[in-house]
Amino acid sequence: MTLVVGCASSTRWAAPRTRPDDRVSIPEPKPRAYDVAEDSFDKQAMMPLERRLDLSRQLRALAGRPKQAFNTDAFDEVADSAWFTNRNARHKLSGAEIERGPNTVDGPDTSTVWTVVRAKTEGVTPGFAIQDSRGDRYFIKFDPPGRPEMSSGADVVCTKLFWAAGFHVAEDYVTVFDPQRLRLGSKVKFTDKHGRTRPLVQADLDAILAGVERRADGRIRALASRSLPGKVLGPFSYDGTRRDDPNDLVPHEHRRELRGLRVMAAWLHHFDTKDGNSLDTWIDDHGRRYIRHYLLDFSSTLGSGSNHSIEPYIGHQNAVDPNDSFARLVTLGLHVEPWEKLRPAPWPALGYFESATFDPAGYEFYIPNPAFANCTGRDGFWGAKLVLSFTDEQIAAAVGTGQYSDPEAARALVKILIERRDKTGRTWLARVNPLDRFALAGSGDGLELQWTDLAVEHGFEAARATRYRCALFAGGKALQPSQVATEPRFARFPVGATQTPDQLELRIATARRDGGAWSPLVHVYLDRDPHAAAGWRLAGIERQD
Amino acid sequence: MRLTGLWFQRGVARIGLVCALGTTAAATARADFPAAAPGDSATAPRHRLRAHSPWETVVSLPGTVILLPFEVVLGGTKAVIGVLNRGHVSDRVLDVLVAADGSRALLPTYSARGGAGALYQQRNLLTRGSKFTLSATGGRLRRQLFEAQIERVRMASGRVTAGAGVRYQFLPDEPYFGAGFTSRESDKTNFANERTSANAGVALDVTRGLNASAGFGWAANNIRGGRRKSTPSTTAQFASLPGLRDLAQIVRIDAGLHRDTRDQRGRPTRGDEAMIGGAYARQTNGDDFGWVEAAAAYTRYIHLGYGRTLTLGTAGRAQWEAANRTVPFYDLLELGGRETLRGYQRGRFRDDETMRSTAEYRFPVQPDKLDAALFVDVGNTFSGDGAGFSGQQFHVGYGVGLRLWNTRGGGASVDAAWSREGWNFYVALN
Repeated sequence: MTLVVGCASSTRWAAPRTRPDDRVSIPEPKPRAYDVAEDSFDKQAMMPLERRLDLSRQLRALAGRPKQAFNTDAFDEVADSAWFTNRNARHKLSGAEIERGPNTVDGPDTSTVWTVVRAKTEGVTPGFAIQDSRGDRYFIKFDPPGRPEMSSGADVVCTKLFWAAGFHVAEDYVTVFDPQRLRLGSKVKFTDKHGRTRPLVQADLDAILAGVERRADGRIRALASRSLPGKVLGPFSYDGTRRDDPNDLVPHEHRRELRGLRVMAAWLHHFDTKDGNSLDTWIDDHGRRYIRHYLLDFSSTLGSGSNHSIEPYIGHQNAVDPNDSFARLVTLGLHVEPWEKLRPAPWPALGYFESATFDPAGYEFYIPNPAFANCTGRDGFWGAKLVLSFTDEQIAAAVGTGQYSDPEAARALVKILIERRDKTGRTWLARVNPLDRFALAGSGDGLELQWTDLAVEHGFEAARATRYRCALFAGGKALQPSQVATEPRFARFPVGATQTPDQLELRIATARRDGGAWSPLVHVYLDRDPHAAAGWRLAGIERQD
Repeated sequence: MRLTGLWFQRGVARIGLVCALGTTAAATARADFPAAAPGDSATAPRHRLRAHSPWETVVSLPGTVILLPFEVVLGGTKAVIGVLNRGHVSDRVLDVLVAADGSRALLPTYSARGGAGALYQQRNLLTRGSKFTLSATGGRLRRQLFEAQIERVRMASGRVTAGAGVRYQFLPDEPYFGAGFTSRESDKTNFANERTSANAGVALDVTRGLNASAGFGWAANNIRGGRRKSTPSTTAQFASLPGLRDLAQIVRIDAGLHRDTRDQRGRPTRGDEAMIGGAYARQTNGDDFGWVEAAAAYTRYIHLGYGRTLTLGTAGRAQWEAANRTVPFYDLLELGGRETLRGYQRGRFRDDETMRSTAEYRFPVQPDKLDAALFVDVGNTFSGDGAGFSGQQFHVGYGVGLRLWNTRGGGASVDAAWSREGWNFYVALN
């Protein structure tokens, strides 16, 4: 019965329901406890099992109908929210804006004393928190010995790029300070690597600084991450919702921003996307008090492993990857993976960061991520648009903020990022019909639909070899034979007849050469609208993937 | 072809399912997302969405039921892991066991022969570069092994190093199949060997990687009936074996040259290891036992690229009875077990001469953590007259293994080896 009803109905397309604004005031939530070991076990042992035994998921895979993101609008985009603010992909940022990124000050004041207010040797990277003369607090972290500029540079560059894409990030600065200016604050707590907390003494500070490389003048380059505004609530989860946040209505694994983040993270080799590298804070935004969701800690990106250079397999398999291990076992190690042939970059600041073996769609994160595991072709296309929004100049501007002392290293980094960006675009744009920015022109008796072919725009495909097949439908029935166009427009299709229904559907497929296979469809929906200039308005789109 | 035909490109068989999924999902969406005023997101209904729609929950029910026991077990494991992590238990234990600079380590150890126990290592004890080891293991049938050893203590200009050690072991079920290459597996017996020994030696660093060494050792062996009841006791089956009933105290002096150019000890990928040496041993509390021994071994580690390593090795040893004295049966040269012929039981072949070769191909399974190995071992024992030295008499064993290793030292291995006498399995830790 369901089958019959399903096939016979839904001739009129309905736009996805609008999501409520998630930036309305809520009562103060409680901090979320997080344990990295539990999270890792959960993602590596339990999640794969749950996914395998989720029969609805298997059925969807069999049918080629993966579950799409829950929070997209009629044009498959997301609204600004507590998770994301549309920036570069919507309005191109200037080089200066990219360089400034989320920063609201110029970094910690290094001209006077820094008061140490907290310190830890717990976790991956030892460090301490300071308060500068302006009263601003920063967490200070260092590059690993022998790898000056590696993690601090990577963190700052990626902070700028993630911010420009639209994600909420912290204000991170490269700073150079004189350790002689450090002063112990009163009653400062110190957490050692065993998690024990006790009063901080000078010897603890000396021990942290002992393994840090100093410049010839004795000063130290470090990463200064400014404290986030609001009450810290702990990391967000990449699945489920936060029960004490009435604004949090969409399961995180089905949020477009988090699914699409997969593409951006792979581009920047941000392999460590565990919950622990995120943070929720309860902020006061012009009187509205709600939870804002941040991505944190990009020191494990661009080939950096925060306190070491990453191993070459990172990005090609998970930390524990039974499938790859089994494949290697049964092939007796005779198959050599391309990443096994990699050599580290000649610049200590980069480590293993390259574009030759980069596989945007096959990129594996260190710990599986539930939102990334749900990433569909549409999500990937959306994420690729974020990545492709960055011009060569913008990338160079972001890399400049890393303050690499070796210009060769900086140039190499820009080149690799551009190559990885283009690979990302080629991969994800090929998964769908990459037509975008639709526009309607014309009068009531003949309309013209125009669009931008992103694959052509970015030079991945030749315009002269591209063909578009367009057909006009109403109520599920074809109104006229399909037409093939060589230009990105469907010209002057007749809509003036009085019998024309209230909604039209245009189905567009793309082929890249004569006789080449047609891509999946893009459905473009037009609604009759007497207030619109042409009597019709664009109602929305739907992509097949 | 009209565009509508594209709808069918995935195949007719899928259509029903596609329709069902699409329609029910849409229906669910409508239920989950009640209509709102377009464009006014602030007034949209605030319903928390479910990750699974009702039909998905129903369809997934069998999987959910199957998952339930796993959820309980894995959930419990996860909780334990969380408690341990929050208590920093692993860090604290590791810090007690292994010093951050690697100078000190207390490690669990296991071997089938010595049982399970602990191994304590302290580096730089007397001089820089020295290594002090204290180990104690025990196991079934009251097997026990205690050992204290110090190695590589630098003397004089540093080119000379010295070492010394004492050991007590009680091995309750040492196997004995009879001497000679014709011994049969069905003749297996077992004996208990209580052995106390001490040794001391010096080594001269001749050139980089090449050492000349000389040493002195003393051992007291007390042989008793085997404790493993499932096999006959050697004392009953081979009543006239030399060394079977008497407490024999034996001193031994040895000298040799040793060359080691391996790139790393735990997981060598290139380089070689060669040894040639000789020894003289004699009983001190009687005149029954005395012999001369010579040994040579060579192992080559060939890096095949990308972490794959081929290991080729060969070794030979020989004993000659000295001045009408003989060799106690437990000190006869032996083959079989994890160190020699892995397809055969430990001590499977004993005689005056042994020769063996091995080839092992090792490749990474999990980068930086786990290797797998394929190996073949060939070897046999021979009498002094050369009897049995023919191609047909060589024993062959094949096998596979997994090697877990880490850069902080330590490791574990599991080997399974096959020969015409069946399977043998080996587990070793540190």
